[in-house]
Amino acid sequence: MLVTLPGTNEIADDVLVVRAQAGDYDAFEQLVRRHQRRVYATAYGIVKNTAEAEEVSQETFLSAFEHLEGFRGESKFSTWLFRVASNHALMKLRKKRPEPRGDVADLEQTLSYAQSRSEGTSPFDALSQWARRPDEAADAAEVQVALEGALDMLSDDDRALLLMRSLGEESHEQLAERFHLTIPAIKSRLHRIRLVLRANLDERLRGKPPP
Amino acid sequence: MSNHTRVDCTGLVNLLGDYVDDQLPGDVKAAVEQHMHQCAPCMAFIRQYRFAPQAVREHLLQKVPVDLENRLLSFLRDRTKH
Repeated sequence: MLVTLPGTNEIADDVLVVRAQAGDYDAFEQLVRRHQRRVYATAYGIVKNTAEAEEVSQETFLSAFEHLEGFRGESKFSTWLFRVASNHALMKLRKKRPEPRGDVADLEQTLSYAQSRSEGTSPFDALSQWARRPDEAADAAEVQVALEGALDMLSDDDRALLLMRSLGEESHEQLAERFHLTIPAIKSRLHRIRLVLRANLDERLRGKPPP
Repeated sequence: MSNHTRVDCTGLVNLLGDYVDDQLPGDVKAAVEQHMHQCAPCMAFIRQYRFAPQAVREHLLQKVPVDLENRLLSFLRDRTKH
């Protein structure tokens, strides 16, 4: 059995879960420490509010603690956790704003506009400069504003889908199950989300907001 | 994108999802890479497509408050009576 994570001295999640299920509270706290940043980031990406993102993080880990006994390890603990976090975040958002926002399909006009604008442009446009190092680029104030704006253009479910893939590292199979879609449909939807995100960021970083 | 490879450029966009997830058959992947190396706009486009979600991830992780961990642990100890 794998006890530590490859290349580290950290105890693997599944071992910590078993210990926590047996009543070892320190093991549960190690799981909290390990996953709290990505849980908060996922929650913030969906609710877009710091206080609510912290509430979602609290609710997520409390829910995890309360339901730990029933966790059977059929999926990774982190997958289960991020699913709980995204569900809490989406519920919070829907209580506050019952009307659903536009889906990716509604943004196709934006996408086709942005694609047409890309034709014939220099390859060394604004986005391609920072696309080399997203970790460094995300520090730049203008890029942060652009990222916030681009995220706002996605529907709640599309933001959740994107974040469950990029922060939760969920597989296409897991996402298909979560969103009640086929695997090809999930791949297609993620592809459209990435295209919209790219196009929207490119427009914003050129200082020309989409129509 | 470049005029002389417009069809190939369009085709490439449709393959990007599977390309970045490394799920293309070997011959298709090779064709995509051959086209990219000949088409600077497509090279830039795929770089943007690949890195935009990563930039979102990095941006959101930077939003995490530095004292979140302590506050969360304190909240949970209180609520779970530990």
